[in-house]
Amino acid sequence: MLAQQIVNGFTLGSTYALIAIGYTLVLGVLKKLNLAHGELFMAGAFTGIGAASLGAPLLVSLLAGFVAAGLIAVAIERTCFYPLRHANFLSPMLSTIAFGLFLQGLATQIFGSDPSRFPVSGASFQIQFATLSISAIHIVILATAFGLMIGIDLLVNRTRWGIAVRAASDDAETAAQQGMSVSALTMTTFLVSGALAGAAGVLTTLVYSQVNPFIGIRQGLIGMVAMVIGGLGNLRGAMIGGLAIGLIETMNDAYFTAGYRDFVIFFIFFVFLVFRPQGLFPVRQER
Amino acid sequence: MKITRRTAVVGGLSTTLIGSGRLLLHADSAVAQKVEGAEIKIGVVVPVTGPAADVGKREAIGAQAAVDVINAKGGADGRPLKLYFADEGSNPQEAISAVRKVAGDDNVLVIVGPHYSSTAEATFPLGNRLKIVQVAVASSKPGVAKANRPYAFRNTLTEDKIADAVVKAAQGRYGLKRVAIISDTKDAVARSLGMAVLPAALQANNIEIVTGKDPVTFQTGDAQFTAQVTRLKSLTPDAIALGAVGPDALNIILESRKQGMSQPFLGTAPLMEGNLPERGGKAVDGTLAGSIWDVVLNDAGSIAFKDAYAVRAKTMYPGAFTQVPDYYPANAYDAVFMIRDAIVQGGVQNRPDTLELDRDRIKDYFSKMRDFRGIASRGFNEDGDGIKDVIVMEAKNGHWQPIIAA
Amino acid sequence: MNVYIEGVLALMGINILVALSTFAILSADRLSLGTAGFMAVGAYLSSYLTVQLGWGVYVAVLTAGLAASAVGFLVGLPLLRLEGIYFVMGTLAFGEVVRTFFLNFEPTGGAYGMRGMYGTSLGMIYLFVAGFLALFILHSRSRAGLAMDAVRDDDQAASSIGIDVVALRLFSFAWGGFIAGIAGALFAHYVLYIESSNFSFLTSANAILFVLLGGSQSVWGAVLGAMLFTLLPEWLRFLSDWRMTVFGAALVALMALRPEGLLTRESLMLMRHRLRGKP
Repeated sequence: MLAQQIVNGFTLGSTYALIAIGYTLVLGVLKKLNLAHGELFMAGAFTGIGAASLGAPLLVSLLAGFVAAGLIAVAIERTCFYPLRHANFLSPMLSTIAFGLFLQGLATQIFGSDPSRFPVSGASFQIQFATLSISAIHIVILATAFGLMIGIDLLVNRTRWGIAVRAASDDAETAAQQGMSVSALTMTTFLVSGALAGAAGVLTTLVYSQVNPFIGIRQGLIGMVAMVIGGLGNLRGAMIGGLAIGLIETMNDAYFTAGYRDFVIFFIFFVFLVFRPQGLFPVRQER
Repeated sequence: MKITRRTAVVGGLSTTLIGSGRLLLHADSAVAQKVEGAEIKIGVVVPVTGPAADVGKREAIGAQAAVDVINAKGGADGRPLKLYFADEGSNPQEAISAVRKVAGDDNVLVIVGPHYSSTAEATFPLGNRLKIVQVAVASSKPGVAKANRPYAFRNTLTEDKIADAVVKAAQGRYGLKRVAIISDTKDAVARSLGMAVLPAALQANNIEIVTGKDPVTFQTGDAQFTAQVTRLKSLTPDAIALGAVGPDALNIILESRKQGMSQPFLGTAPLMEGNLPERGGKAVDGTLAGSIWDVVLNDAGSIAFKDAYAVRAKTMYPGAFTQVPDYYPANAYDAVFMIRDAIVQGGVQNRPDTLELDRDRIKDYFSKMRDFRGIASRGFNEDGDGIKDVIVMEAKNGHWQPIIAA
Repeated sequence: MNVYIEGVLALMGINILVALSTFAILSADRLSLGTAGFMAVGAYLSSYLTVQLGWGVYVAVLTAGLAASAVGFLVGLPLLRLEGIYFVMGTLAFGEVVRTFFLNFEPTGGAYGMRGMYGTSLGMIYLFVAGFLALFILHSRSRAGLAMDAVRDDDQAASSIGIDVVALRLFSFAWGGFIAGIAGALFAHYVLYIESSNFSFLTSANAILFVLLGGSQSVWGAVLGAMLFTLLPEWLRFLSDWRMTVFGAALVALMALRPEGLLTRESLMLMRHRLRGKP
């Protein structure tokens, strides 16, 4: 059973990694903490479900989830961060909590408080490797997640946009030299971050089957933990942090008891913050 | 004190007067007092926001549907009923505020609600302090009403009775010897099902629990169950007992089919939330659960309820998730009729100056209610919990279908 | 008094205490998202002391508060070394560790929660509120208060003139823990039943929102924020199932339109001047 549980852990972890990467983009790069990030996961999932229930084909629903979450992220930036840019640096964070409440209420009114699922129950076939079985959809998730991670990595490290975004948090001039305003850069970063969370939401719901309006609370917190353990501001670290948390959670549920799951995760979080706040893979300062 | 003749006469006279006064009072309540007032106020404290919003809305509609039917026939002794709603927000703190509002501000006679057991554990003691009856319509964790006599009532059947009926039915159908249990660790009812009620029912029926004292565990609303199902599979049970609410159960069953398991599943009333057969299709066929009412029932009372509910659901909280009634609104519907009976036959006067007295009259009437004819209710037992019949159901062809009316 | 109004006032008093706790920590320029953790310690301990051991309410509440402040001291020691956002996340982690601990801790009920606490009274709650407020007002006029202001305005300058910044912060954190512990204990005895989900991350977030909305620059801002926050969901009851949605949106708008909160130092000074009759 152990090997199977490890596979389970990695698959779960890859969805956490996607959330963590989105979080890292905004926090590590823009130095802003969006506590409604989990709600973006939820909004992406619900938009996908909504599109699918209106008859849209699967790929369109996925894209709808992506895009909706990205746009809502921009809305969060405009209403919670931009107006509070001169205030206490933690005020915007609390405004995002309120925005999260608003999204939860809205989702409850539109979709109901009971868990929702995709209308298509993916009849997935299992692939067997010796005693291990992994469903085809799990492979799709792993592949999509890794693909997105590599894509974001390239985006942030190799493109003009990426350089400008990374510079914008320290140095508005360099950003301006790249030809983009800080405002536009901030909004696009949020857009990408939201899209990633939305993708995680849609993929998770597709495979694991249920989502409810209040699921974002935990998903967001887990994303934060993964991000910190991996190393704030470090995309690869976030990825590894996500996989690690997925593994820890799966092992806990398999061999211990689910009741203690979050206790274990948050205790590890606390320990890391106290003894190694820079995470497993600290960001090297480039000067 | 020296007993003089004067004392004796005065003593005797006053005793007679007091005695006959008490007799008069008794006579008052024995004869159905004329109900007065422009309307009779009933409070409804159910969740319309938060995680239980969907089911709370259905409960509200169920209660209102009952009022519609009663008022169409002239109300209670000629006076119309009026519902005063307050959202309990799916959490105890808001529920307390809501109870205080309807009891202290709206001055209602009695309260239908709250929903969750954990909420009831907070509002029941308050109800005792305020001396107002609450009739919970969903709480089913054993012992909650018992610990809060005399004003706490629950028009629900506690899970232990349903579990026993379901386990017996499952044993008869599948010949079970070894059963694994998977249990929620967060939701209080699902958890007590998985950790206490189901194990007791299985043991009472001589079935071996392969998970021993440590069932496989998860938390309400979990996004995935791969780890848990992998462990269940490794235990090779004959069947799996679910200490879970419907949506989680659905995911557990689907995941287990994905991992190649074909064993049947069983659970109790919480399993019947969330449209398990409709959403699970063939994968969930053969799953057994139990409840006290289901929408497939077609006796006269149930039909009247369903009709009234359908009308009301068009204008009150309209939406896809409130259209189909389940046993929660049925409980709420019955509760309102029970209240109507209590008003008419319990001597409620419904005057502002008799509010406290009237609230107690409801309490007294409910304490003795054993023969009510509701669509899913027959009254309350000595613990304040509902007396109901269990209907064991099976998921088949996309619907729940009754197999035995116990 | 109308039972409903009494209930709202009781909750308001508890919320004011929670806001004061946040304000205490904020005064030392640290923002804690772990208020719920302290409340939980206070709530569960005082409930256990009264229900299981038969202690008197006042003693139990004070003891619970002391326990919470001790926890604050122990947790603050490692956490206060951290910078801004790490500190915030550390307190969040602390709050969640406490919540999940009580979710599983059987002696205080675990997932089934804890019940049986006999009630506290409106008078008792407001006795604590008045007491703490008095302490805050006295403190702000004392030398210690000025030291805190110095630390908040510029901690490097403050330490250069001999103020032990770390000690001050640790003290504020423990003090905030004490107040939050008392708030939690009073809450438990008012609500008569508690479970771990009462002490969630959202509870801590609300605690901060009271202060930020009301105005973080003075203790009266914290009080005002707590009062408004308690009343707003009640005023919005007429919105029925749209209540929470509107509430969230309203908060976002409020924060965007008035980021410094409702009661700023300037507006307070203006009011003082007007009250004293100055032009």
